[in-house]
Amino acid sequence: MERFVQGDEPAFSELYTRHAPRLQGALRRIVGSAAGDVLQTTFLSIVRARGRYQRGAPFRPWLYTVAINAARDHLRRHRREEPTETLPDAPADPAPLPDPGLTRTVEAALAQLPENQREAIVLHRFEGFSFKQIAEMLGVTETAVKVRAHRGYERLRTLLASQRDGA
Amino acid sequence: MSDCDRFLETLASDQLDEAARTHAAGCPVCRPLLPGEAPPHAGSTAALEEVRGRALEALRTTPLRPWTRDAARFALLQAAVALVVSGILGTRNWTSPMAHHVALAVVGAVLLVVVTLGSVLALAPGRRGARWMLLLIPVVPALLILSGNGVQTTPTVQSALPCLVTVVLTAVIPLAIGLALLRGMALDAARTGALGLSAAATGLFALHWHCTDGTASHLMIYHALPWVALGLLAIPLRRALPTENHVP
Repeated sequence: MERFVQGDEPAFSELYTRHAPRLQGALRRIVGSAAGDVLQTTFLSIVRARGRYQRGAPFRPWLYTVAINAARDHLRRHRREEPTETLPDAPADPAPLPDPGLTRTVEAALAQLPENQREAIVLHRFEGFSFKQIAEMLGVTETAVKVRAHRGYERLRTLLASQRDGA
Repeated sequence: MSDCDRFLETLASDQLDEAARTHAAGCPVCRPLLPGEAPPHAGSTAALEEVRGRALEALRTTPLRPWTRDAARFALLQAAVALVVSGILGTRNWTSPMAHHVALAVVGAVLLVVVTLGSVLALAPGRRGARWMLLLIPVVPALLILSGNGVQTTPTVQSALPCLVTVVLTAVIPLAIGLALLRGMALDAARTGALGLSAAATGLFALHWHCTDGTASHLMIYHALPWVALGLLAIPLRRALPTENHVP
């Protein structure tokens, strides 16, 4: 990270290779088809404003904080697309998933959640951050994140149950 | 409480135990909610490489700009504005025979700290510094009133209004530059409010040495109120501006 801050291109490329594909997946779950634009905004932000990186701070939470800020800015400026339209198309050459059908079912339900609940669940359930980390990333209290996640999980469970009953 | 409810409770409190995990593993409704790192979507490699190329280009063309340099320059600019306006207005209050010199000096020093250190805290990465700044909202008016001599010299609205105008006009340049700097970081209401308060304190500082009206009502309405109002006004102004970078 220190080398990247100093402008070292291979160091940046290494960070990009490590984090960009996964971040793109998280952004797809939050902003749908605008994930590519938000990903670009995120990486351009961290490159241009790398002087604001605090030495010694873990990179991944910082990157996701920037990405969440960029996603929120995008959603504020553009009305969010209909949830069903935001689901990613099935890739032509899909990566092996543990249960692709199940994953898509969860994501269809996820797209129906309010923005703040979706963010909390994407960061907790899919990206593996703790509630404390998420609270720091979102600039809210840990309790607020837990409440959002709890409501989100509750709603998700209801949606999943109704989908199962309807099947 | 059903097993499903219990699973949900433990999941949302980040204390998932073995019993809850075992239930979820066998429950078709709860199973999809079990935390675990899902694989990323298979995105387009070409799109990822395009973003990498643009970011590398930006890395080549954008020099490193430490935030401390911008913050220090902004703090110096604000101090200069405060001192120049003080020089223009004069120190009538300080030289008044009714002045409480120790109180005036202490509050003047506090205001200078708000003008300089306050702007640095507002621009610093992270959110804590800016939030601490917001504690000044009740503190500064209280200090202003404590340093006042209680003597009324501007009995009419017309004679008191120049104080309000001074606070607003003095803050125009610092606030405009501050808002431009804030565009280079993520939208944050606390940070913006803190910067607005710091910028508006330049006029407050100048008036502190100049205005001889030491009544609590005058200090509240014509000094502190426009200061707080400018701090709050900064928030919708910043919201209306586009964001260049989303770093915290």
